[in-house]
Amino acid sequence: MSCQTTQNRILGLADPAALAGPLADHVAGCQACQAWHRLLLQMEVAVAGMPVPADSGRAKAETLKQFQAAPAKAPAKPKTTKPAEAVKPITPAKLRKPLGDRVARLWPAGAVVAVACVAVVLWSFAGKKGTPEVAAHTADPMLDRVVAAKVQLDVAKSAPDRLQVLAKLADDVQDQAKSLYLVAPGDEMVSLSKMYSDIVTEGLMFQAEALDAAERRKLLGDYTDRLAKAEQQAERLAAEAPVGSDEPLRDIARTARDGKNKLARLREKSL
Amino acid sequence: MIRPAVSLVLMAGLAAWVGGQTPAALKPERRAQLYKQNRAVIERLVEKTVTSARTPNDHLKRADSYYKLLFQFNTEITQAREAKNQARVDELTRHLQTLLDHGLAPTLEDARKQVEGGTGADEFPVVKDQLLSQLDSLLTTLAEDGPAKQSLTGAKDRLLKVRSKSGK
Repeated sequence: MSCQTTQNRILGLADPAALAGPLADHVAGCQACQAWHRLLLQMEVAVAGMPVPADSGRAKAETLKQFQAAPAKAPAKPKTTKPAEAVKPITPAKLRKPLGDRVARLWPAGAVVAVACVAVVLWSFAGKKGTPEVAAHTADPMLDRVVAAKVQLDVAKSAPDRLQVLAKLADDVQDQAKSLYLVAPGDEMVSLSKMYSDIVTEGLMFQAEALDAAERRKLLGDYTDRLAKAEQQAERLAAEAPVGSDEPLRDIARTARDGKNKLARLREKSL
Repeated sequence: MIRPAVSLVLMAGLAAWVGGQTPAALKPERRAQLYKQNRAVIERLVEKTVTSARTPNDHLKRADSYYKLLFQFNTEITQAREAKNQARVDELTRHLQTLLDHGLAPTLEDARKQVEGGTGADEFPVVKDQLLSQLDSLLTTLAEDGPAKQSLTGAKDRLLKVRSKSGK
């Protein structure tokens, strides 16, 4: 045990004169600590002998007042001019409530938000649940497009306009085939491939031939590209199509390829 | 206050997203079902569209292409009515009106000029009779449908206005 530790422990004793155990052993063997201990004992005696001045108790009362809560307001006290206060009381800061307590107080708002969220989700699902009923009355988009094509073609004033209508109709029929090839193999797909063939071979080619040279140069490149894309898409779908859809899709691809080649030849002639 | 505010913003965003949803695209199964139902009409429409495309300057032939279309629509509407499928009746009637008002009407106007010019005067009486018979039949079928009746009567009036040089 070092001298410093020994001295600190002696300072902590209620009676520093009564040493025992390791403290007594250390002091007995250390002259420096013996001298320090003697000085400490002298100071203890001197402090005990110091005179204590008479106390009115006011200072103690004022000190305690600073830590006491403000007294309740006296009822209907007449206003009087207050003398300047000697010591301004210190108001202790209010204790900040923990975050958890503060959040817990907002539970009604949380409940409202939760109920609203649940309502929105239920409403959303309820809407989906109603979809089959709505679907039973859903207009057929294919029928819409075909009616529109007939009307547009009858009011089209030029071969380029008619070409545009027919190309769009061919795309619509191919789009329908793309939607149905997995779920409706057989008659429906054969019907679509035949319609595609009629539109491209009979309608589109007829209108392309009706274009003048300048129109062919300007327009046929785009329609050739469209047919090339249609061919690729139909070939790709045919590769993964079930029996009953594969052949109609290959027919569509064949029609698109023949149409593409014819349009390319027509365009070449116009160059 | 941050948590409730964030919750409210999220809720408002969710509601806006749900509200902003467009009707979902039809599933392939539903499209197939509709195609089976409407296949005859669609095939007929495509056939007549191609026919019209091949006769761009023969307006009488284009007008004639409506005869089979009207017949097809008449058949389908009658069947839907017998099956008490009012939604289908309404859908077909709406398309019929579109065809009459925006397809047949301008075609008849072109046909009138053509026939009055002397081209196709011989064919015209046959085309006219066939179309009139279908329009009359549809007027009977759709007697209670005000807008459709108006379109049919309009088409009939236009057809009756067409006069060949011989006065037929």
